[in-house]
Amino acid sequence: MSLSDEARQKIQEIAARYPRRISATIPALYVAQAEYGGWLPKEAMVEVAEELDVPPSHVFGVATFYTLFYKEPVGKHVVQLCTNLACMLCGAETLQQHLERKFNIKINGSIRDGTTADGTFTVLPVECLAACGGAPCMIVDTEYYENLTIEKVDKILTQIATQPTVFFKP
Amino acid sequence: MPTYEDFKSQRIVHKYIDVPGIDEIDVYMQHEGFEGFKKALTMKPEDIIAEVKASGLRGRGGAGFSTGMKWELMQKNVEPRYVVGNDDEGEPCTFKDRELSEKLPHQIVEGIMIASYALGAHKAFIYVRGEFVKGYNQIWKAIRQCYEKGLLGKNILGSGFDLDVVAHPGAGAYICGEETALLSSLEGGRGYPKMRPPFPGQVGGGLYRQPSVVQNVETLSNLPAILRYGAAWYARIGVPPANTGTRIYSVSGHVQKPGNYELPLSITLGELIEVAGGLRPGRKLKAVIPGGASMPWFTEQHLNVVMSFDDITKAGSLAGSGSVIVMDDTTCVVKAALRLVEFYKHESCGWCTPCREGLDWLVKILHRIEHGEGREGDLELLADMGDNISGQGTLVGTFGTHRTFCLLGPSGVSPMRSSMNLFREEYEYHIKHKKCMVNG
Amino acid sequence: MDLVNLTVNGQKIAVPRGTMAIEAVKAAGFDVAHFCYHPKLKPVGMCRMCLAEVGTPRLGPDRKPVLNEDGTPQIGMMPQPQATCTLPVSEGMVILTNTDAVKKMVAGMVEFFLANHPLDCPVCDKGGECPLQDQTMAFGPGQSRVGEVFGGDVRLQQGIWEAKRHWEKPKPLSELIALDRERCIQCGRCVRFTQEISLDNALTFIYRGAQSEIDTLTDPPVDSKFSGNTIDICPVGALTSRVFRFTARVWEVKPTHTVCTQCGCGCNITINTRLDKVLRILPRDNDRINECWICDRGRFNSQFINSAARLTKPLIKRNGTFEAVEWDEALAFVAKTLTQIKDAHGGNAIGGLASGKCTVEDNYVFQKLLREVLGSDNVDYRPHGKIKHRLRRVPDFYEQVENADVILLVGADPLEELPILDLRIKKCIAQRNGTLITVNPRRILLDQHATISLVHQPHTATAVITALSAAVNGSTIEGLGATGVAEDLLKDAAQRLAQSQRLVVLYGEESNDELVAALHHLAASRDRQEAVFGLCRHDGNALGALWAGAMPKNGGLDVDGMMRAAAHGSLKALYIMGQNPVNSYPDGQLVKEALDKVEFLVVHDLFLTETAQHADVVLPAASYAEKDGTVLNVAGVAQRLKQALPPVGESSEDWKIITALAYFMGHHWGYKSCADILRELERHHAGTSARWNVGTLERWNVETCQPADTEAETYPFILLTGAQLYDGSVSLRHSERLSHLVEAPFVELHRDDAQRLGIARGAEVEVTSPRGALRLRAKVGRKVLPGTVFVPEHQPGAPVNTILDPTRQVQRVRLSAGRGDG
Repeated sequence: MSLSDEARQKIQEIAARYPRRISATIPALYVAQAEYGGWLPKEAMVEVAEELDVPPSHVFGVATFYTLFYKEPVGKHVVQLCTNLACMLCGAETLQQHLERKFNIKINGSIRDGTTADGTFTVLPVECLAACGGAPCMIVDTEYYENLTIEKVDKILTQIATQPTVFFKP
Repeated sequence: MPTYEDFKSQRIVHKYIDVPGIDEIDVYMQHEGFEGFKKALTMKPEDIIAEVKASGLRGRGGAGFSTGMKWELMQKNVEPRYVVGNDDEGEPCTFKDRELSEKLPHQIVEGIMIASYALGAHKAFIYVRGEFVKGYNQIWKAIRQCYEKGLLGKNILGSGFDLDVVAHPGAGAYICGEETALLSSLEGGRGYPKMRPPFPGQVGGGLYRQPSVVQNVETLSNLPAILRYGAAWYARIGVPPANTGTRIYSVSGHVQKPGNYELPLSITLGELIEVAGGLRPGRKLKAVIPGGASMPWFTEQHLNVVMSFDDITKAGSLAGSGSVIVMDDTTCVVKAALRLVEFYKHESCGWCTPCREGLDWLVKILHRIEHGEGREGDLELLADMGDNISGQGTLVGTFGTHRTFCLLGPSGVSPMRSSMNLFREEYEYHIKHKKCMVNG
Repeated sequence: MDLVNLTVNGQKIAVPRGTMAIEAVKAAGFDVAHFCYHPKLKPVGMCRMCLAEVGTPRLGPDRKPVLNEDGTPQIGMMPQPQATCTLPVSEGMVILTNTDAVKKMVAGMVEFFLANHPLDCPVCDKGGECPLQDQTMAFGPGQSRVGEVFGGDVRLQQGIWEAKRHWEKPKPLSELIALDRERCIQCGRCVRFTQEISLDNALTFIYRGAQSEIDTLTDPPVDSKFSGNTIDICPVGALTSRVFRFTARVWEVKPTHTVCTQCGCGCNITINTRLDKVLRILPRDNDRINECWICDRGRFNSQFINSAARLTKPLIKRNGTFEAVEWDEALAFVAKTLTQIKDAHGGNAIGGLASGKCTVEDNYVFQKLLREVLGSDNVDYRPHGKIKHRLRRVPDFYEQVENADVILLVGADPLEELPILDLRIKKCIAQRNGTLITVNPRRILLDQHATISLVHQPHTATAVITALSAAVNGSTIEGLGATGVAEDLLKDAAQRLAQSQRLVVLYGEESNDELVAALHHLAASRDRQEAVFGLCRHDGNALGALWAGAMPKNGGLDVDGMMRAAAHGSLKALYIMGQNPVNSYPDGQLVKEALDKVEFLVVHDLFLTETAQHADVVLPAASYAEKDGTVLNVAGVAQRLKQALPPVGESSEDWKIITALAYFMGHHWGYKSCADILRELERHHAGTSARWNVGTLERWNVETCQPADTEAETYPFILLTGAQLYDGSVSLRHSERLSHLVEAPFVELHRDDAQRLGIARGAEVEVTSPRGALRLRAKVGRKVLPGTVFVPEHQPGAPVNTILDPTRQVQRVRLSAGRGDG
């Protein structure tokens, strides 16, 4: 597959915002990631490089530096479960263990280990999401959920499971 | 016992945060919106800089550097020049900027407009943390509404001043909150910090090597009020002359009402914890990290410390980003420190050796202590390896002689060193008894 | 010079302002540990090995130094240790690198490096020339406190708490380079080389922190003609050569300092041999030529030297097959036959093709054989007659290029033709802020870094330059329409040319007289000193051959004349030294006719080339690594080749073969070494006006050229040809590793044309001219203009000369889609 004309158009639009087109690398990668179903195969990076007229290796370097770009196929919904200090103090570990048991996955940062067998969710442990006032917290797709309990997490994930993925489109 | 209600009338940045629809430009304009900017347009840029300097405003992102001074130091007569808003909030347990982005986006935009006018920039960027999807969309909404009202674009309000503002998304890298790494990222690259000098305000050091000023969005959000009411008004709040105004304290952890509280800089740590609902019943305070995860820890004996920049420094820590993490007596300090060192290891960009390799090994050693595999000599090893990342020789600030390229590495050493200094017996217990002193 | 005084470990020293502290420490005679710092790369402060305690004089309120009682300035030590690689020196600075504090810092840093570095030095190629080994020895702790030194824990094997980082090893990064990620210390020298020096961004860091690694996303991987330099500058054994890997310990090899002759750059190299086998080729520092770099062809095209396919005995063709014979027999046979032909038809029935691939001495002796022994003046070193070389000695050529404020590059592609020149041009652009203006009929890779690229319709370069001159002079611009160059772009270029203070003009070797005259006119019209250089491509000693006199004079035939005379039957014998005209001569049809018709053909070569296969006698010659001699580079700078290994088998240096042949013909020259020959040559030159009178060359007869428009219907595309660094050269075919990078024969066309003709990327295309057809792979892009196609010269198995007709000025072809395979 390759980028749609609409996506290419969008990348060009974004590139025009900056004094130098290379600055659009991150937003362009978001556009590509949404097109490729939530992750970035190498051909997507090459296409972004072509669209921005920058070296492919540069795009590769950028795409791998930032954690919100996924280099392997992810589940339909990505769950970012905060495990940093404030959430840890407020019970994030309990949620983590619950989800590991519930979905028979490992929440260790590996996309493969963290993806449910049916491919609905990829659960990743993440660092502070800046929602410590509502710890423990998580992001599903692009939405924040705070003050979580086991019951609340179960309810949220059950609801979201059937809904379409929401991608961040800059 | 003080409650937040006692302080609400003194809020500056959060003054209108509870007004329904304040994230729409019309409502914002009904609540003093853009009056500060309009006032600025009637002033000479150098007078604005003088005004901001006189207000005593200090950066709310972490370093607490005088905003007016930073503006004065920006290299003059070089075009183009840029102003960049730093909304890449990532210091663990800091969560004020996300709220500002989502709820008061126009105030951030107004702030960057004032700064751009004062500094002669015609292009400004707001670097929004990648996770803040809502905040990013809200800031774009505010920018678009400003264009519609003629507040951005060419010849703004007939003043002859042109300005374009672009919101730029990050993508998950704590280091990009460091201003030079942020600039690298905004230039489209990997988020590596840049060498200083040249500083961002100088040719060669800023965005696209042009003079640039990077300002935290809470700092920017203070500008409209300073312009509206004047520096003298602002300078009376807090602990004048060097610690003026209010700041948003993000209180989290073991308090009953965690959240963001905008309070004058004259508040004490004890009062702040009370404002945040106090500890859970029956619990004792064990440790507090004032100012974000990288700052040296406080204990009960610091409850009377005034939470201003200079008072916190005097007490041996740093005010940082204004976040306050409260840990009660149920906390295992080894585990807490490990989590924080792990965080810094995860966020190390890899540019320089001591941070990249050193933090990796600190985590490995802390892991084995935490998991009951600690060995005799591990504490000395930890301390020495910590010194090899950030030594304790000539003390400057609280970081010591860092051997790293930027401050991320020393930040990663800090929780380990600080907690080990305060709670060495807990570490020793872990090693000796192969289990936790607190949780067994 | 503006000097700065400072003190290093108590020793006073003065260094130029702007010097980095690390260089000052070295200049003061102290060792300083470092990995990321490299004098040719920008300082980055990554490895943190070069930390020092630094102080500067305290300044009073009057900005003057505060003095101690004894009159010395008070020094304020900086609170933080400083990385000396990123610290410019300042007046009165005090640097301490030998304090206990610094020693501890450096030892701590070495420990960090070794914490994850595998201790596989016994099988590491870098062992023995490894900065990490050396610096561990000099500055490191004797023992490791972390890593896989504690046994006993099952989790240890699982790599959780104690293990070093483990990676699959090694990972082939490209055809030429293998990466051992475990050994990598992330100094970034390799990545920065591709970002700052070769400007091809072939490498990048990926991931971050402790998980960082080096990788590439180009096609082919590490798409760079300079990738081998990253191996040299890697301070550990992370990047290794797939040619050299595991062949020897570096202390066992014999280094020979010599010069690369694979193109005209004249790069200084060291050939490492062991047991008379070439193991690797390394650059040798020479800031006037190649600095510390060489191209990948120069480095990796080494395996052919010891190839089993080398000729090791003289061959005589009998009844259509070659028989290996002894030297005496071969030389006697050649002597006898040439004498017979000379006696029967006169010396001018014999022609000789010398070679820019051979040394000055080889060429001198060769032309002497033709002129003095055979009585012929038919001698030419050039692959074909369109090439015009001018002999000029410009020792600071590369410096002039580097320091130019404007470089005008016309009709050349240095990356493919003279790679080190390409690197210098890039240095001028990236580090000296120079402006590059290119004038070419198609886009070249260097255009990415050009300020202005004037891509013109084929055969209109002179019109473009004339228009530029007009624009520089402010007169009316004429004749621009046919060139396809936009006027505003041209005017922009003209303005930059007019303002330039240090202009360098570089033009391709096939530029005709009109174009060269136009370029001189343009340079002169700026009323400033001119610097106009012709470029000779590929042949490493073209100017040396010219200097040696291997050109016709007194009415002798040039290469084109010889080919025509041979095809016509008037030239009876042809003696070819080190050339393969079947592949390289533009008129493939003519050369075949010539070689078939000629009565006696002698060829010197390393391999049984396409040309040698036509020969009656093939004499095995020595490669550049196997001989001494003199070569002149593109700037006319003479350098010495040194023999790194004896010629394989019974092969021999060309000058020795010819001297022996002359002896068989009764001429006893008595040369014992190259030095004898060079002395004679220099005596020869001393008597003349500094150079040979090259004379006027016979030009192609273009009168037979048909009107273009009638032909354009049948053959709508104009065919451009040009050099390619990795071409179908015989030597590349026999350098196994590098041969993988030689591309399958291709034709490059514009994507609009491709779309119109339904030609997909990678599809097979038939390229047909009136002379013949080639089946080539389609490369679709925007490098060529619509209506033109580009086919590189001598591609393996598809030599473009078979479809060229050099009697026509404009080469035309038609394209038809063949079988698609992609």
